[in-house]
Amino acid sequence: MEVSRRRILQKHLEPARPLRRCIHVNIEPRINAASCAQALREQVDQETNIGIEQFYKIVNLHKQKHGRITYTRDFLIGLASCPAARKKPEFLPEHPIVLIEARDPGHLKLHELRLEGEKEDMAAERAHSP
Amino acid sequence: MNNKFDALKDDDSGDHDQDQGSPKDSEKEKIEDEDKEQNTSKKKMVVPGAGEHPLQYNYTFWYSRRTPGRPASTQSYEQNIKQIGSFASVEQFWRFYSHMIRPGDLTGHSDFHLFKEGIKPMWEDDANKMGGKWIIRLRKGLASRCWENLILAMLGEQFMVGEEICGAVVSVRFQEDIISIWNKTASDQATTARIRDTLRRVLNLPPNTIMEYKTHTDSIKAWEDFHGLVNASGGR
Repeated sequence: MEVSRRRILQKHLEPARPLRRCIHVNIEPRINAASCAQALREQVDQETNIGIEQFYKIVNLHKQKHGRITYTRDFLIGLASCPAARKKPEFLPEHPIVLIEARDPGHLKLHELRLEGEKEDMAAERAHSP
Repeated sequence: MNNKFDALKDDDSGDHDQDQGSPKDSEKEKIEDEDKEQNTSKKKMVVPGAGEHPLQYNYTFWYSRRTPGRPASTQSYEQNIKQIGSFASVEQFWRFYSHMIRPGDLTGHSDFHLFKEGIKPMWEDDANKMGGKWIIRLRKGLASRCWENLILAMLGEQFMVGEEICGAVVSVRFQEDIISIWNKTASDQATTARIRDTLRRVLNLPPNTIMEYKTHTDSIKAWEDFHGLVNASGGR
């Protein structure tokens, strides 16, 4: 009897389980507190002493649940010409590769036009988008 | 409780996992009230401006150029690489991008790197040391467009490989340009295959384009061999 209860406790006390499973544990039905008081205390300890890294992992997992923040190329390009995207960054080092004024985003499209002729795939893919 | 958070935060400062969590999820006002030490560590984090489109991760632009005549070494590589800036939103990305020259206009032996904030564009970084990269060699004239398509796919989370992507590089060389995308786990074949397929799709490369996967361990070894830097205790 003693042995089998110990086994239960040990199973419950595993400290280093990966976080994905840790979250899973939380939604599992709670073990009867009367029979397993020590295990519960340990678990509470684990929850309150959660590290910052684990905390952000949980945040990230929740984010993933709601989907990642994804943007299509066309959507991103659509934002390139809005005023907020053309401002000079507040902190920009002085450097030969750094421009004083924003480049014209239009010329990036010209670049593409010139190259698109070579690529029939691209035209085909474009046809799919509305 | 708070102290524990602070202490752990400092220990984990190299871990990019926390980067987009902290600034976006905590209120700015609170930070002002807290002690200076924490304030300075949080100040470094970029946050999306009001009404801007947040990105899944924060990223940092880097630029490097080989100084002519100086022998290359890991140390000089780290000294030559310059941080341009970090961003957390689509708008902030465009602000930096539109104020930098295009890779096709770079001269000499130079590289642009765009990595998740907290990951250095170096093989030795913890996030990279088990990783590798897909390499695509481009004839001159294609780099600007390919680089743009590559980073837009990365920022827009088009690769769908979870946390695996570390960053992207465009390398301007004498007769060709090279673009590459780095991931965390070189041994994860499902991931590397997915990255390859996404690359094909987003870059619209001709079908005969050669794509090569190289682990960073191999890159380090090749680099050491080339420079004749064989570890004396290595028995070779």
